[in-house]
Amino acid sequence: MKPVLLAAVTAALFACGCEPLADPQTYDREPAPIFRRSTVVAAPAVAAPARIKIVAWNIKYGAGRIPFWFDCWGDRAHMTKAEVDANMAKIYEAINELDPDVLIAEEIEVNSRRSAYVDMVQGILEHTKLNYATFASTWNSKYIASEGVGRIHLGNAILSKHKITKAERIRQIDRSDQDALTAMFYLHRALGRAEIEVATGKKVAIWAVHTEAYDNDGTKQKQIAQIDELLAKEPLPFVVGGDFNELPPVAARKQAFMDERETAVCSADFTQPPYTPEAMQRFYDKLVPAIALDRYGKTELEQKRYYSHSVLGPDEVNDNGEKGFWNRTLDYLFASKGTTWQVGSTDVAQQAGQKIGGDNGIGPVLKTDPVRLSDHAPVLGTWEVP
Amino acid sequence: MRNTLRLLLGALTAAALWTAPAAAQSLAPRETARILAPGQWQIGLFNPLRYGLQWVEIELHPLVFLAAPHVDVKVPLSSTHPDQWQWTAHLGVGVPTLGWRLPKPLGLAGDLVPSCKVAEVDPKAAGWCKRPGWLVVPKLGVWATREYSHDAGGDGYSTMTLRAEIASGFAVSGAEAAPLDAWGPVDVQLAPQVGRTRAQLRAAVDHRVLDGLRLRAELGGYWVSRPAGDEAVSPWTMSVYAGLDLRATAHTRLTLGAMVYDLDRRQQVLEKTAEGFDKYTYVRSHEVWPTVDFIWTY
Repeated sequence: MKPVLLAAVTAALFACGCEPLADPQTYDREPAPIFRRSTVVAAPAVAAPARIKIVAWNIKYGAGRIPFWFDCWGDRAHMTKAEVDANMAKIYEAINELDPDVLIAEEIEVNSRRSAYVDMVQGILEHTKLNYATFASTWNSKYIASEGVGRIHLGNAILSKHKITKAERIRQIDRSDQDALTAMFYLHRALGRAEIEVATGKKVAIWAVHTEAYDNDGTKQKQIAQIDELLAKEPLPFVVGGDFNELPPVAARKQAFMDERETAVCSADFTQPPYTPEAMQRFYDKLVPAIALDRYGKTELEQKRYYSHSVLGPDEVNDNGEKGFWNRTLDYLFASKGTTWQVGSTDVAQQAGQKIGGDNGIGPVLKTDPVRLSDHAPVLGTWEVP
Repeated sequence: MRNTLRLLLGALTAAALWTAPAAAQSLAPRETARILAPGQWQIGLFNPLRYGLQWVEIELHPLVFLAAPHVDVKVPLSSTHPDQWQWTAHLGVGVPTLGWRLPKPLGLAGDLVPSCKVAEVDPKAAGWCKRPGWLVVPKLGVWATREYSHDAGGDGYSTMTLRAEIASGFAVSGAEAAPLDAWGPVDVQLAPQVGRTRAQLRAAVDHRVLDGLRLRAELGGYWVSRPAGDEAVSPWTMSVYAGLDLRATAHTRLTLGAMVYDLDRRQQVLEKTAEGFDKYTYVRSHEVWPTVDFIWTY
């Protein structure tokens, strides 16, 4: 009965010309908007093979290390404009330092009350050398009556120095373990896909990913399988990247992370379900990873170098007084077969002072400190397309 | 659906007309500057409890009184005369904080404002908790009502009412709360309860159609303050109400209507630029809220 009632309410709102309460999700694959910088900056010339520097980064809607209520280490539900502006200024600085040709950004917001309604897509365009962007909306609701979250418009963006000629939003499978009302107002995962013309007549495709984090019904695994199926049909050379919310198949630690609460203090809705690292193996088998499995190593000590996520930042401590730091790998870049990653260019940008690519890497040595800018680290590499 | 509504309205109208002769008086207008007679009271499912005393009328809402104690008082400033404006002062005070601290069903913590569950068990996280602190909300207003038509054969009459009111939440302790930025009626009603200042001007016509049937229309304009440095949302809201009051029994009435709000809720629409790219622009939001209540007057 509930879905019928919700459908009737939604239909009534449409009939009166009012804004829908939530994105009605009436699409499977649809065109996505393409935005442009107010003044276009000349894009670098691309030689053969084309070298395209790609960064994938979950920017946590410009919250930096402010603990939000679902993090379970603090109760924040909103930021002030000054807080968001200050955090975004540091993100712009980090992007400019990494200087990507393409940025895949997850958890980026364009009109959310919790991030003071800042349009982060346009903000990045105006404050970096990236000229074009597309935004695949994943959570667009007029009001979320949970902790006073309010209006939210979040999604995945692909930003590029080169022209985006086509952009799409591709719907991912929704969770099935929520009641109809919760499901209506919950985020609906979607993939972003952009076709980018890096040189005259030379197009590549970029896919932005952010799969489910808190399901208990196998939704994330289905979404990962869906991505695999979609990529198998991609006709262009491509890179897929983002926050897969899943560990690599060789992960030494799969549970009991240092920044998980030992006692429940917030909603059970935000308890981390068990990871299924084997779900990621398909990408290592079929694609070219920016960081190959053998680079991760076997022990936690070795793998720590490539961790990309932590709930706690370095200025906070867990129940045992330990400071937070990256403690698991969730973010990835994979390229299509037949293409490569430039040796020494791929890395996880974890902290200030780190040389990108390691001791023999191509750099730069980071001045910005990603561990304080988001709960995810940027992953990056220079992609070589014949 | 339309036929059902017609049937319902027809039945209600018939009931109102049928019971009208049994009633001693014509259905009185609502929400005017006039106060209830001493000992008279009125309460609705959603409307507040009003009680007439000698010279004043008190008003409070039983549903929210426990979590947000409050009381309003209407004090006549001029005598009642059908052909003159009657002026009434409307004063009120409330302490809404418990309503923000308690979860459902008594309060709204965890729905419209943060619940701060983490801070409650982890004192070192208390600094991240940003829920409304202790507030006192005084209210001051002036109402003016004048009759504009009389029923020659009976005691019925029609009124126009003007209201000007200002209410503000003054922080006694704790953090400044964020504006609710919720739905129109919630924002307008609860803005002072989260520390904002709300000024409103409203003009209403309450027209007698029959002894048991009244038509009511109202225009409202509201200004709600924003925190310093937060100019993202326009402070102005407009509302229009139209509805009917139908006598149900000698002492009860059914009210049916709709309220339309025009407000800024940062609604985005996509537009094309001259170069063929997309851009988000902001438009004002419109909300339609059906209203219904059942009111007893004794």
